[in-house]
Amino acid sequence: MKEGKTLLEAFNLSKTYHVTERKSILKIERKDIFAVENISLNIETGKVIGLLGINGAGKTTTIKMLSSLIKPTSGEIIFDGVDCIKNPFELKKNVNIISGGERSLYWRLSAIENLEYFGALYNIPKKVLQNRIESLIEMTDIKDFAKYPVETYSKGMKQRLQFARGLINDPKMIFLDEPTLGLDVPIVKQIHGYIQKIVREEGKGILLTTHYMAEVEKLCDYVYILNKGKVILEGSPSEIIHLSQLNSKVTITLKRKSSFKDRLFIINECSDRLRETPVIDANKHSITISINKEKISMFLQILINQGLIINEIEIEDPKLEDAIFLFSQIYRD
Amino acid sequence: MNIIVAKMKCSFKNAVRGELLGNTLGRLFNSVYIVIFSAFMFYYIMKGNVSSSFISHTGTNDYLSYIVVGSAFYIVLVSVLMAVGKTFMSDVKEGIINEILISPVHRWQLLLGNGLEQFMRSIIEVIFIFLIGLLLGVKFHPIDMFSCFAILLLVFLSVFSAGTLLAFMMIYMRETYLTQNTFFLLVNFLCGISFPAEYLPKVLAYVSNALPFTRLLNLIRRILIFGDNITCYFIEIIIITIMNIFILGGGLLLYSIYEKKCSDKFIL
Repeated sequence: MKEGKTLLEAFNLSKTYHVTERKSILKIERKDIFAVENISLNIETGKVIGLLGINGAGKTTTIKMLSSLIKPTSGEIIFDGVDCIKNPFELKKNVNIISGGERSLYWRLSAIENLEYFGALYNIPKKVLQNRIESLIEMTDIKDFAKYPVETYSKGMKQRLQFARGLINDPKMIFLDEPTLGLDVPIVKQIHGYIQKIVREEGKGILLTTHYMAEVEKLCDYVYILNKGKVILEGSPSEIIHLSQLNSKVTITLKRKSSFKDRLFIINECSDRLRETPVIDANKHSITISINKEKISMFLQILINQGLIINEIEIEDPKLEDAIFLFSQIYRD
Repeated sequence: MNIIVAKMKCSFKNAVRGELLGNTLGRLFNSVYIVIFSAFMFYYIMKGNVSSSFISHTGTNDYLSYIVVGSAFYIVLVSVLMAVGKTFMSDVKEGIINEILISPVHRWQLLLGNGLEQFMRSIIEVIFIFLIGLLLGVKFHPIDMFSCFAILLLVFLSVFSAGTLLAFMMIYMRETYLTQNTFFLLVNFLCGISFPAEYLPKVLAYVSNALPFTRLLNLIRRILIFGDNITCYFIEIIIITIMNIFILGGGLLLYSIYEKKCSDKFIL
């Protein structure tokens, strides 16, 4: 990851919930649930950090610990050089949270009234707050509806207003908890635009949790993958895909239809040299094979050696989603 | 101060836009009903007479003025207690609690903002009750601005302190309806709202007279019905204030302990 200024560092964070389970009328069993175990992570200015994992992996608990909503059982959280477990107010002044879904706003209040209220919670001077509200309303494109109650807004408008609310204290760091949940593509693109703007132009640090892997590939500079409360993998999205050693899907379209002899040759050669069997569609003149990216040149060589003329090459790289699925399967037990 | 005013504005707008008819008009109708019901009861059922024990315990035979003061106090109490008590529970229900808890705001600022907003609205109801009461024969002595201000301050301190305790109970029980109504029932029964505490069994009467609500209500009645000067009750005012400060401290302390406990479990 390209170096930025470290904003938040977490060292060996763990969270254990003590729960009781009633076994019978008289018998109560106490149990410890290890929601998060020894997680260490680092969030820098001008970076989007992804926190990924399937449901129950410990993402929400981690975010709540990092945002001071819950206290870790053990570990350390340092924000801008300050110990946040001992001094959570320092963190609270400089962070904010933006969640997906339609809640997190007062529906009977207008956008301006919501922003005024949430701004007041951070004790922002009136003049500064007014200017900030104006610029945020402008940025999130809700000017025409700013004086209407939020309950009259569409889902997309509510989410844009949420974004404005999350930026009201000009936070150094923002927790984005599934910010595009259930939104249409144009609104998702707008939200992505805001995220990129505040990260690249304003240098804010972002911790993003999402279930949309395309979003992670597009926005995240670095990701932590959680499974059963532990970090099982970390790196940039491309590093994680590379680590997974998943195959790329290569589709070659030939200029002319291949003969039976050609097809037999390709199948034998690919099986021998690439250890993969291609799928040949004689009618569409296409050959599809799933191979490691490094072996693509070898595959093309096989075709050229047989005297086949290539019209088009299509390479579909493995997706982060597939890599994460693969790792979660590996670490399942 | 910014935060308290912002919370007051937020609560007022939320209430006005959400339950304008059901809330404001409903309460005003309720006030009219209370006074008319009390007047009917006093004039037509009791024929303007009260028992000698009532006179000996309260020092007056004017039950209408007695109950109108009690009812007005009860309306302020219920309004403020409900608002303060539900401050965080309604944020939990509206899904805003994370956004509130992540901000550097002190919980008491939000409780106070909510309480003050509701107190101001309930004072309008009290004025309405008193006006109708005066039309129906309630007799109050005029009071000066200083006494009026001191009474309002004491009433607010009392109901706000109890409200913080109720806020803790509601969050602890994770329930509003049963908790608040049990609390109101106890207050109504124990604190001399519609009958003197001396009518209760002896033990309860002692408990009642030790409660700040009963003492405050007696003080207000002495000033409004008997025309006593507030300065004569300096010691009583100090006692009520100290009791309320203890309740307030206890409520806030219990709330903060519970919030810390929640931050270990994340119940909120």
